[in-house]
Amino acid sequence: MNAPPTFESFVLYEGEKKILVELDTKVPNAAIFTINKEDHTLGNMIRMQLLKDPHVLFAGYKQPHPLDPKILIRVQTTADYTPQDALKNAITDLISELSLLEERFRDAIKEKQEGID
Amino acid sequence: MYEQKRPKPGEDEEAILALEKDFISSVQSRQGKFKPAATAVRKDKKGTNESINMTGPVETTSSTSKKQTSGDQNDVECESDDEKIEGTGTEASAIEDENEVVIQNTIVERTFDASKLLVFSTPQQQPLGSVKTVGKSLFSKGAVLPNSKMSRKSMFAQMFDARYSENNHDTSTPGASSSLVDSSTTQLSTESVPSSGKAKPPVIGDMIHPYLAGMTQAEIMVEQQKLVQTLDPRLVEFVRSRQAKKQIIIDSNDKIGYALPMERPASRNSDKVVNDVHFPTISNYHDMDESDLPIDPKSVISFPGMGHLEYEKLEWAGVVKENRKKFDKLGEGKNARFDFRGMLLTGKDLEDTNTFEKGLHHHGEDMEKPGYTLEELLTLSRSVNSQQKAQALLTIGNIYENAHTGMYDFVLEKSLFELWEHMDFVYALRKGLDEGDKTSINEAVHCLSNIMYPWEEEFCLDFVHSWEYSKPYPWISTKSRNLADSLDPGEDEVDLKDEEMLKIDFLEFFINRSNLLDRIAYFLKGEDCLSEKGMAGIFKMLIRVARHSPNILVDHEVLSIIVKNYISPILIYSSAPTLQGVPVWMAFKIFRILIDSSSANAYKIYEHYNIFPSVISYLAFDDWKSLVVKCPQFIIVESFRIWIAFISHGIAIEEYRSFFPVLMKFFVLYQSIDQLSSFDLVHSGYVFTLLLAILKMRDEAFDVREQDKHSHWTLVKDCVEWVEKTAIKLITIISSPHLEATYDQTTLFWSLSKALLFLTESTMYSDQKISEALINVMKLFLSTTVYGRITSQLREHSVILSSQDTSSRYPSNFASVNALYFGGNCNPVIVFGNALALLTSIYGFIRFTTDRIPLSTVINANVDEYVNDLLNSTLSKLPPSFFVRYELTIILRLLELYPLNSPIRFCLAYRAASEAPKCCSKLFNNLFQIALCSSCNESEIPMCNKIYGGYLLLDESPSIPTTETSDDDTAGVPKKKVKFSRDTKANDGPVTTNFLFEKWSERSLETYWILEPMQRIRTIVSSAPGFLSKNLEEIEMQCKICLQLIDKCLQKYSDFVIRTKKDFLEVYCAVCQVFLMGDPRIYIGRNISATLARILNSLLTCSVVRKFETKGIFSTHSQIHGLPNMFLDFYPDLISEYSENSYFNEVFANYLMLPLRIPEDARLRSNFWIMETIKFLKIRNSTSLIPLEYLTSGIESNSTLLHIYLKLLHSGQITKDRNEFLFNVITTNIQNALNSASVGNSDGQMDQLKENFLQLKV
Repeated sequence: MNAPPTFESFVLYEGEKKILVELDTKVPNAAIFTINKEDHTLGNMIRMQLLKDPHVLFAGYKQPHPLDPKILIRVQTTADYTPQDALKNAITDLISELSLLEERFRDAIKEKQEGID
Repeated sequence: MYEQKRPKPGEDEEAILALEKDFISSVQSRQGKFKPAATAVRKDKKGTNESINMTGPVETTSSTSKKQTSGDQNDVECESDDEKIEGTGTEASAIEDENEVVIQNTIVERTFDASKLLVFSTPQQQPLGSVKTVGKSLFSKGAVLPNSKMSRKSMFAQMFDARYSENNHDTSTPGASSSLVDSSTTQLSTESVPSSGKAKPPVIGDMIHPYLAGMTQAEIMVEQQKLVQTLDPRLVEFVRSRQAKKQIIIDSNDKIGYALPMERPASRNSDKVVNDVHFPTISNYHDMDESDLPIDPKSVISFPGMGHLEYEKLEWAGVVKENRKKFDKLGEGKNARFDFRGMLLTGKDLEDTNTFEKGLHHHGEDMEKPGYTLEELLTLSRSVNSQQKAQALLTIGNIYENAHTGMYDFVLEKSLFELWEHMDFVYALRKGLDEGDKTSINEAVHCLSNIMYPWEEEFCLDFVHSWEYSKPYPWISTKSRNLADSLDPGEDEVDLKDEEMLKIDFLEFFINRSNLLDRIAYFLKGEDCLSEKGMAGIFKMLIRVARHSPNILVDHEVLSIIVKNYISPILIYSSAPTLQGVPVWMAFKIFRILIDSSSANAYKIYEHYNIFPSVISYLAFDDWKSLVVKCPQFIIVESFRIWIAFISHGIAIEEYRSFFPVLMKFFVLYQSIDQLSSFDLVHSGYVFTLLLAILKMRDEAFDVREQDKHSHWTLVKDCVEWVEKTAIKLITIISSPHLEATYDQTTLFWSLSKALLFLTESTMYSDQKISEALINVMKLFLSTTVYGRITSQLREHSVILSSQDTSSRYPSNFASVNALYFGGNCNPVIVFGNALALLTSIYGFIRFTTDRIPLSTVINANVDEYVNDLLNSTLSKLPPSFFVRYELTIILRLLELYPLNSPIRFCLAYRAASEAPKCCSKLFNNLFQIALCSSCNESEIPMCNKIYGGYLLLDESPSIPTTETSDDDTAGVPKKKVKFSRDTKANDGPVTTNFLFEKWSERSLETYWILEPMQRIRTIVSSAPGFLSKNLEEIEMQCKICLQLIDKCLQKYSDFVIRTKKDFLEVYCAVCQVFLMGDPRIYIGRNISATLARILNSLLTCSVVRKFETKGIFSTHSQIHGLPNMFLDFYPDLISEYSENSYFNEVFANYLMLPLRIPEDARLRSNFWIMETIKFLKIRNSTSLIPLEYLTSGIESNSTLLHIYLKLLHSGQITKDRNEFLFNVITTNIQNALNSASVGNSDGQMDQLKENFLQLKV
């Protein structure tokens, strides 16, 4: 009854930014990225990718509220590296990994189909 | 038969002698040899006493001869004890005193033994105050009450016996003694060794002594053996069995302990004879085994009128199961007997012939004993003879007057006050008020008022309630006592039977169930004019009624009658004869008590009873000496007190504005204030108090505007100089030891303390500093021995240090001053009390002059010692005593003297706060504030106040229901929910929380109130999204302060704060709230990290951890305070918070590892080990706050966890380089598990595990 309309979970309002960065003043090289209209699907993925980066000291994400379609990713990196870079790299790596996955998936399907045919 | 005529009374003594001679000769002529049983003896004229001395004892030959046979006291006793004298024979001894002729007439069938006199039979349980034990000093002169067996003999016989035992070495009238001893008419003399011709039986012992003295012990034994062999073995057996029986009886005496443990009478000659009697001591009494009694003594009490255990009655009632024999062993008890002054009669009194003159003998039972038992008095109080009745009531009243002093606390086995619980007793007393004749009524009033009114306590309370932080004082009704908790009066009160009501609340019974007030009203109306004493009694009773509850204000006409008839202002000037002898000051006192109790009551009195004009009239009455009323000086004092009480509530301000300047002018201008103060220090003390009350009015939550504040000051500022002068004078007097004997310390100390309080207060108003003269005198005083002595009393009379149970002397509802013990003795030590009150004010005063008076002079060795003792003392498990508040006040003032950074401040303040009783929340607040402020930096203090303010300042905010127990009718019923408003932006409305002090009765050191603020911060933070980021700094500081407090408490008192595993969990969870706030910045700071680390350390070292070494602490399913769910659900939250938000904070990680001990639930621990980000938990051995042993002691038996460990190692999630500590934990655990498995049965699984583990190592 009180559930928000389903589109709210993926439609960005006008003027709403997809991603926001807030630097943590107290902790060196740390930032919180708020990604709107996303949930655990993306959050967990990015977090895991970030944690694979040896220059990332901390990476965590959370969805502050289940009905609030946004995630916060907290990242801390080593001195010579910024959280933004870390996130960018993580995303790039994820994209390439995913495209590889896609490619392989397609190949596999193709093989399968050809095999059947 | 001999037909000669008998002597008649009034005949000449010579004729009697002649008659006797005649008789003897005639008998001898018929029967041959004859010796009379008694002879008439001609004696020299001496004092009566001597004449008794000269006579021989009344004694039969049988006993004498026995004595001669054995020469052993014990044996004689043994025989005699066993033979119950059935009282068949009577022994008549008559002294025709004025004639010097003593006729002793013995009836020889009597078996009587002088030694019986000294055997103490077992007294038994007496419901009516039988004598139990003797106070340390009260009977130090030594006394023996006559034993029960003595009652079989007439008092004259006893006297003779006593004399005989004293003079048994000089039976100076051979005629008399020989006539006794030689009497061969005895029937029992057959057993005796034929030595009856010997005139002085005890001489045998004397003969043996030198003979025995020359032998060694072994020789004696040999001789004894020989002697025994010559005797008939059956006889020996018999004697031995008797001896054994005797021993049993004596033993049971010890156990039952009702026998008199009197101190051995030192001065009496008869001591020789009683040497062998075993006197049980006080400690015996405590060892007594009730199971030895055939019946629970307490149950006998339920049989009204049964003065002692009577087998037949008890058997009939079906309450006794034991057989008769055991029952009989109990013997009879000794009733406490009192004289008309209400003094307990002791051995000496009982023997004193003066008791005849005092009229202490009567025709009841035990007519030979002087004095009356309470039982007898109660019977007499219902007598139809009014004099008897009046006298009995008077005596009962006197007994209680004495009992209130604590005189009988240790003497009687049953407290006199416990008699209150008996309907019979109370009924008898109450009935006295309804009598027809005036004397009886007067005495009944006197009696009842003496029972109700502990005068020492009242005297004490008047002083005590004038000290700082004394308000509100408790009602003495049971509503303010724990006793009634179970019964919950108010609801069930109506259903209570009278008897039950009596047990709970003695006064309540009298007020509500016995129409006492109606009766009093009747007396007060003057319809039945009472005597002076009676009037005083009436007022005494009313004072106690007023102390009991304020109900008298609402539903009774008594007060209006008093106002109309006794304290109307017109009466003062009219020298009304009706006031003659009536203690009007007592009437004032009734009102003062009610006014003091609460502002609501004060308003009620102000509105309904027109007493204020007469108060002022009395104050303005310049020639108080000419007042017709009794004790005019008391009236002045009471008038002052009433005024002060009103002003302290902010009532009657108009009156004081108009009248006070006049009064002050009168005081200052005409210097009558000096006159008044020189007349009595109490008065000057009250003048100071009045001035202080006027100044302090600004503190009260009334509409006093800024200008009023100054007008207060202008009113009193003229007096400052005078007060200062007086204070200097008083300090000088105290400081000079040679004057010590010339003044009354109690009042001087009190007066001075009031003066200092006023001066302290006045420094806040005036720009002038305290005068140099006063400071110099003060400095001088601090260096004197007097100050040293007073400070030494701090430790001596400390309630906290003694931590004794200050249980009352009174069973039902008398809040007794004996809580004021300070030392444990029975007296309310008002001198010490006032000395300590003086210390309070001195410290309060010095607080403002610390720049001029060095601290080292104030805190001398005694104070230092006291403080150290306090710091090292363990927290008491007893509920805080009401009277501890005065000691806490001293500590509070003392604490204020210590510099802010002193390490003592926190511990002492916290320690003291934990002792604060429930009713003293203001005092508690102040102490706790000091504790808080000393646990944080100066900059954090306002914040600190803000956090705890919601709790601590509850009672200071007018809109909030008060927490005082005794403030209104709902006193004693803790309010479950209290609304309080928070000063935070997230506040959308009042939050209902649990009442902070709900659990105070258990212990104020509950973890609850230390932890609650932390939980609250978390609630606020999570209630509104975005609140945290906006108020990050503030929240951070709040958390820091809360954690600092927890840290400080745990450092010093961890074992008291954490007593159970639930406490442990509560602390753990509360501290972990800081991690769950949602922002790592709160706990990432260096300071707060250090605090958290210290708390963790305290948790690890607390005794609960050691106690539960092999059991789980965290594996509980019970609800933990402050958590919405169980710990099993809380822990995963904590873990996910760690991986999502924490920046992998090390302290957080350490906290996370705390529940990983092996005894804990495996399900709980697996939460941690399967954590995704476990590889980032990079604690090294050196940086770990938790010792490795904590996590590895015990053997891991859960195979799932072992597999998880292996998997962690296999997958490389935990490596030695990166996660040194975790790696060590895992490997040690696996190793231990494998070792234990190799010792015990190892199954396939373990083998596989071992294989895998070894592979890994390779």
